[in-house]
Amino acid sequence: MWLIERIPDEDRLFYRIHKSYIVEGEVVPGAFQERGEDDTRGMSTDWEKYSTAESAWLRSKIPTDNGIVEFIVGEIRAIDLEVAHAPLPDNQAHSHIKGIPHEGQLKTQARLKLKRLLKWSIEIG
Amino acid sequence: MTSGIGKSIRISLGDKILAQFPEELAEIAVTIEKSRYILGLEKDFDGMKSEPPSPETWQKTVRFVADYANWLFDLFGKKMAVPKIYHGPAGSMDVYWENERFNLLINIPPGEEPATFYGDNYQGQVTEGRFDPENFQQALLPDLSLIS
Repeated sequence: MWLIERIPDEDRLFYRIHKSYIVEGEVVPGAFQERGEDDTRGMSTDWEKYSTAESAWLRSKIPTDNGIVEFIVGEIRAIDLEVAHAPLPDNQAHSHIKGIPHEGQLKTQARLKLKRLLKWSIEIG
Repeated sequence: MTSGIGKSIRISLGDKILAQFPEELAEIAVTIEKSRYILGLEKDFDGMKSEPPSPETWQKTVRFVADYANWLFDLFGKKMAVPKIYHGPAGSMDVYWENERFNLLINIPPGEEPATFYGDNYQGQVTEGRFDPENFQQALLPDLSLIS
């Protein structure tokens, strides 16, 4: 199993965006949601220390249906979300953005702020 | 479909009229029409087992946007800034405004849960809360005509 590491603020995380979350060329706020339960709950991303944007893209079920956006870790922490390294047996880069509430206006707030922070790495198509 | 009859623009779903607008609010009707793509989303539309909004949640959102726009126009003569209407997480709907001065997101969940909103002016002036989208006149929402 991989060692769990602290991710520096200056590093980037890569996040897959499915084409269904692009409307008229815009990433919709619904693209940002945690999945999973309990300890495995979070927004799945790949840490640049162990992944490129291209390898994150290739890990998509259907890469051509997905794009990759990137976030700066320190900017995520600055909006009161957590970033945690959560390596998987087959993916040392796997990391979570955590802390998006399940419901309520704080969830709405987090999604709006995440939309502002993203930068495209690999656009769909 | 949307059809202009006299001074009225109508938004319908099947035989049911969901909303009507004066011609001055035609842009609101257009943005609602664009959101019809949501009715075509199927379960697992994103390959992540996500649920799309139900037709009822879409209709509730359309009624809120239409009623709010008409309320501002009829009572105050103001035109509401034109939002974008998207599918949100877990079967919910998002109504989204973004311009140089202001950024606001309203989330309308399925069922009876209250809608929630968060907005700011990018410089620390923040508004947030929850409200009943079918009784918005009593809600402490920001004046959406201000962000046009």
